[in-house]
Amino acid sequence: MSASSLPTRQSDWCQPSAADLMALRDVVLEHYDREHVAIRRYLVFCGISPDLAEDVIQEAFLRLQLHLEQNGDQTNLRAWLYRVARNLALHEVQGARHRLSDPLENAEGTSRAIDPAASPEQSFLDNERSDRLRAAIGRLPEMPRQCVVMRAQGLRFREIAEVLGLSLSTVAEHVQRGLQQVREIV
Amino acid sequence: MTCAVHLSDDLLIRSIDAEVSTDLSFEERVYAERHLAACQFCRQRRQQWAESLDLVETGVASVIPPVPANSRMRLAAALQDLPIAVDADLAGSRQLGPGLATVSVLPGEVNGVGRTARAKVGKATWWQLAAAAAIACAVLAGLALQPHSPFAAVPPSDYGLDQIADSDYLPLPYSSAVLPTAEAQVVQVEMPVSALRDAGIEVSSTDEEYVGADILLGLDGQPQGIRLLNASGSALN
Repeated sequence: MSASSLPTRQSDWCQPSAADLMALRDVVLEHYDREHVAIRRYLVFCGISPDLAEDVIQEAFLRLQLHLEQNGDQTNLRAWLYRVARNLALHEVQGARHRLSDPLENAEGTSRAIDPAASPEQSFLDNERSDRLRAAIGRLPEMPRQCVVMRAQGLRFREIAEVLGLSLSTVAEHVQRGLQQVREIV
Repeated sequence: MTCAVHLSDDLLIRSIDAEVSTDLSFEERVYAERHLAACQFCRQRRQQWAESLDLVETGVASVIPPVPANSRMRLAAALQDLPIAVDADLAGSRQLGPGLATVSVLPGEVNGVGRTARAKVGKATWWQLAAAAAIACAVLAGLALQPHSPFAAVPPSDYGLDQIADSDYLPLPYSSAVLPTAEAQVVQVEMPVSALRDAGIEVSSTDEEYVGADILLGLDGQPQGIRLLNASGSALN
């Protein structure tokens, strides 16, 4: 939306109708269904406990509803959600209400994806490989870890840059470093 | 066939899935495609980076974080309550614009982070105050270097100055056209009068060196607007 097409006074904003609000709620829930696991996973790799991640997720999606009601920028809501979730989590951690934990600790406390069609041997090998990979990712420095995890979840470099407030080249550098280190460790 | 000059790792990594992404500019994409078509060495390097990325994707995807059984229901219920909260009696909430009042009466079921989002004026922690003051000072100091008053220099239609006149907030120049009062937090800070004066904001109603100000923070924690306060805490500008 261009600035010129924006209402000029707050009172000019149309109060959303009940039907609009219902539709917005559905949009928020659709986004929740699509993104919440990925955002939780990102938070876990950031060292956020699953309990705090749940609170952050709830708050982030409530804010999404408000954001949509206010005709906020909808160009990239996925990046917006990651950014809000990250800032909320940081806010909690910096406010000393929660401590940042070891990402490995959180990652190991979570269940793992199991292929039901795999044989027991294959499952064992897959699990072992996953453990190694998870450990390698968990040992990365903070920024490369965050960049790599977001990239692995399908975010583009521009989106990651938007979430972390970094330049595109810095993100690319972090991803490169992260991938390099994971490759070396594994 | 290989070339004498090769693509950088940065470009190679960004060129993975380039056909479905905007990680490369058009020029970069054309350049990379041409080079990769001719250079086997770079194709191999890109393949290695793609394999590393696959590895990481496998490792990340193997983690399935626990999701409370009622998480979605809880969110749906909270969303359901949202419009009711809009219509609720707002008496007692500070009048900072309709949106902020809405946020301040959101349902209180979401604990922890939820409380943080809803605890508005007067609940800011020291680091919030310090960060907001530092950012606001930096912005104003930067603006002071400009030849004209930063706010006067911006046409009202661009920044929606007339839109926010009711709530007395001056939008900071890099903030969005519409101040996000429904999504905002407010922190109170002490601003040096000299910094404000340098930035083109005349504060005539006080002899103090510092003046109180409300800084409006957006959802992303960035300062969006400023409102000066007098000694009794009401708006000056």
